[in-house]
Amino acid sequence: MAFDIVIAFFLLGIFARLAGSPIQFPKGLYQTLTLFLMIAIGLKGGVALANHGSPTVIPQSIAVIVFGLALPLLAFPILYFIGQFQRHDAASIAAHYGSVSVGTYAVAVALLDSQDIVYEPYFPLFVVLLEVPAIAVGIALASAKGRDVPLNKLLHEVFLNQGMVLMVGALLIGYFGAQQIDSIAPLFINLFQGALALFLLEMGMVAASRLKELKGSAGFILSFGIAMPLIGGLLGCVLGIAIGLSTGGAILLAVLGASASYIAVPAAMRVALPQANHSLSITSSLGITFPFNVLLGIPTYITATQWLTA
Amino acid sequence: MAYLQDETLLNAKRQWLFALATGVALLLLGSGILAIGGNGIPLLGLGAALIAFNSYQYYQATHTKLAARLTAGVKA
Repeated sequence: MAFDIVIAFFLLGIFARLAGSPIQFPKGLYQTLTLFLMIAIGLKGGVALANHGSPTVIPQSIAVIVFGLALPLLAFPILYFIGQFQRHDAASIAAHYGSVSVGTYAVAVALLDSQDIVYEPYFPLFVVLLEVPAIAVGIALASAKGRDVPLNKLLHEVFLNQGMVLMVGALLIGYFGAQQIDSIAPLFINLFQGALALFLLEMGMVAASRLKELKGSAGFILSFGIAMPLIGGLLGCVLGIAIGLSTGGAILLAVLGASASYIAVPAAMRVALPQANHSLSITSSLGITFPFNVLLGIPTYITATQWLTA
Repeated sequence: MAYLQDETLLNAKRQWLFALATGVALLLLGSGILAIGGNGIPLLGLGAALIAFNSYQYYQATHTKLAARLTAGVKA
């Protein structure tokens, strides 16, 4: 694994937490960095869509949405039948794994940029498209047991959660304001890597804390948190090649398939499935899958996809 | 063969087999990455560790359960 300066901050965060170092980020900083990354990714995607958009984006987008619907359907039986989770817990975790992690995507983009691997610049559009289908499937999978959350509240959480609003909003702003992007580029484009490093430092500490919470179901959750990114990554890579994406694009789709949401979906699931054990989903996605993807998964998807497309 | 009917043991076995499959997948992937010139060693290590950890958990779960049943049987 090549040394990457951004990922080194993630390792520093893990080390700091495991070593008991009293590093304490200001409470709102993690939230601020998350919002910053969402806006920056959305903006970049909007500008790229304005400059490089083509009709091929439409069939590719449809394929990506179908992919987003399929992922939780693959995760659910594993959780329900093998993991023996309650139906609502299995549905909630499956939704997390069907959706995407903006942080993982940002790390993948940073790695591709550092290795000069080109990818479709409008990719943030796919990130946005992959946010919603999994939430809908997760709710549908759980709803066999009945659900007493008002539909309007649910729709509000699915379509108007902070990730959705900020990324779609920034995408549209970037698309329509592409000519004026230079005026805000110093903040949202030039500072991206530095903000990502800070975000990963905090995430390293959070991931290490989450790992400590694994107790009874540690063995299965550990296996699932590693198996699911492998399945999603493989499918994403194959789909990316099948729909004609570049090597970098196929790598990014593999990363999106492999990643699990820990921002948008938890918020939606808290409303949709209040009875589910949300700590379990977050521990799995943030404590296992995120570190796996950042440290081992992404370099593996890069090597494997490059070999497949060579 | 009564213990094979036990739901807890069956669940433990299912989960152990899933972990085993994941570990083997990691080992295969790591070997594949090594074969094409990448660094597959971390994947090999993780695969081996996953198999070892889950096998240990499975051993503990089954033996604790059987020991408890044997003890109960002796008392009865």
